[in-house]
Amino acid sequence: MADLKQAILMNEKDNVAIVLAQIRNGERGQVVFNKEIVVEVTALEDIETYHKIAIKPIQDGDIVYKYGEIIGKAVCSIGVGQHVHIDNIESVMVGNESQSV
Amino acid sequence: MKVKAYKRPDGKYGIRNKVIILSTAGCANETARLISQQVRGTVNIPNPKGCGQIGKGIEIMRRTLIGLSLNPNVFGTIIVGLGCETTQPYKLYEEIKERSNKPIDVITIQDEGGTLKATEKGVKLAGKMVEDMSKVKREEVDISNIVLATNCGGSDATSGISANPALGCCSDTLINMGGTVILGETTELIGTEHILARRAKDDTVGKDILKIVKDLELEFHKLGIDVKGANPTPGNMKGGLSTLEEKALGGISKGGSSTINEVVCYGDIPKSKGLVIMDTPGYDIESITGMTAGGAQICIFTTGRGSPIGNPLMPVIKITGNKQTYEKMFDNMDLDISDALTGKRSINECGDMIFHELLDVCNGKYTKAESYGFSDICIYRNQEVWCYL
Repeated sequence: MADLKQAILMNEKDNVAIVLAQIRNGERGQVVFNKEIVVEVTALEDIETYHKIAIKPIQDGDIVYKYGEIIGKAVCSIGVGQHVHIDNIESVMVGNESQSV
Repeated sequence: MKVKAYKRPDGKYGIRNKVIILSTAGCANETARLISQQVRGTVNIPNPKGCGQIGKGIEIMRRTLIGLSLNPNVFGTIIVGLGCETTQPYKLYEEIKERSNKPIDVITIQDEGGTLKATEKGVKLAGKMVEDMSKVKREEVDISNIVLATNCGGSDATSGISANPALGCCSDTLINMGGTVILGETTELIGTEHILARRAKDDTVGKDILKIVKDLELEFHKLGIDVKGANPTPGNMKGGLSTLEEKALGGISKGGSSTINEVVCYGDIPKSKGLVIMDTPGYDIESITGMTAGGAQICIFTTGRGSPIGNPLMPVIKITGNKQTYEKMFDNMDLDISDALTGKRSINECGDMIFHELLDVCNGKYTKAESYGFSDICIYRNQEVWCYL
């Protein structure tokens, strides 16, 4: 199974991982954190190198975590294995200037 | 943990030993260069301006010149001025002397009677200073004396997921040992200011973080630029970044996960140890110059596309997580941590590699930029308006 594509998890809290090589629709990949395989996922679409793949189900409006921090929120539901990008998540900072500490 | 460093009379420790020929105005740059070229062991610090400056501009300039002279890697300073410039070379000399008893001399071209006389005097003074400097030996000192400057430039899709977080692990290690890490580049903080403010030591530091980001954003707005709306750029998105905060989080990961103890102005010397934010511009050379004036003895620079950058006072270690860049720009790159992106090494293990490189370079190993004698320096000049197009 050594030839499975890998995706790297930046923090254990994250619901997305970064694919380290382009993964094709239907291909299985290993999600790695600290050199250990955390979970395996099947890509539901083609995902380019260094783009994000959902590793947990994300509902519409859910917070998306990378580095253990908020990178945005989902604007529709995102299934495990889907590409997570500008079409399905948006910034919580931009256009939300009244946020307090 | 110990490193070998040079003790300075003000109690600080340098990991390099330099005499600087510090020009206090553009008009003195060439004369300062002549002096520096004659004396081995000196470095020339050309001034991008130093005169015809007002308000915050001259304040930043003078503060930074003082900070450069006080940098622990500096054994001594020869100030070379024209004489009539806004920086006031004789006053600078007095102010530096008040804050440190390191060797310092001052000459002005107008008082000496031209470039040749100024050069002759400068060469004599610098020669004596370098001779004294050569007698100083390295001694073992605690690594908690080290102030690390961090910066990124020429970033690509690998930066935020390899070099920056790996440098963050190294930053955490140094801070856990009592050292100091400076995180700068205020433009890169936009979008993460609330996250950083939550990591602040107290309310004051938290407010300072929000303030430097807000002030910068307002300046951009005055110029009709919407920074938040413009980021991530189309290139960033192609590389996989989806939101402003995702991009900024990749940048701030250089500083690691420590509590933020202080926010300092450009070129100011932090009073705290641990993680410190300096308000610096996005232009790499200006940003790193500010951190040099802030007392950093060493800089780690992360890049995706590669960079030749160096510094006249500090060694700059350049690391990349992009294997192609490391191979293509081997002449300029110091450390390849692309194993973080093949699964061969974890981010933490790459952080350890960076920390060991930091130790080696502190102890005297040359960086690529040092071996070429690169001395990129540019003091930030604020936004000054003197004429319109």
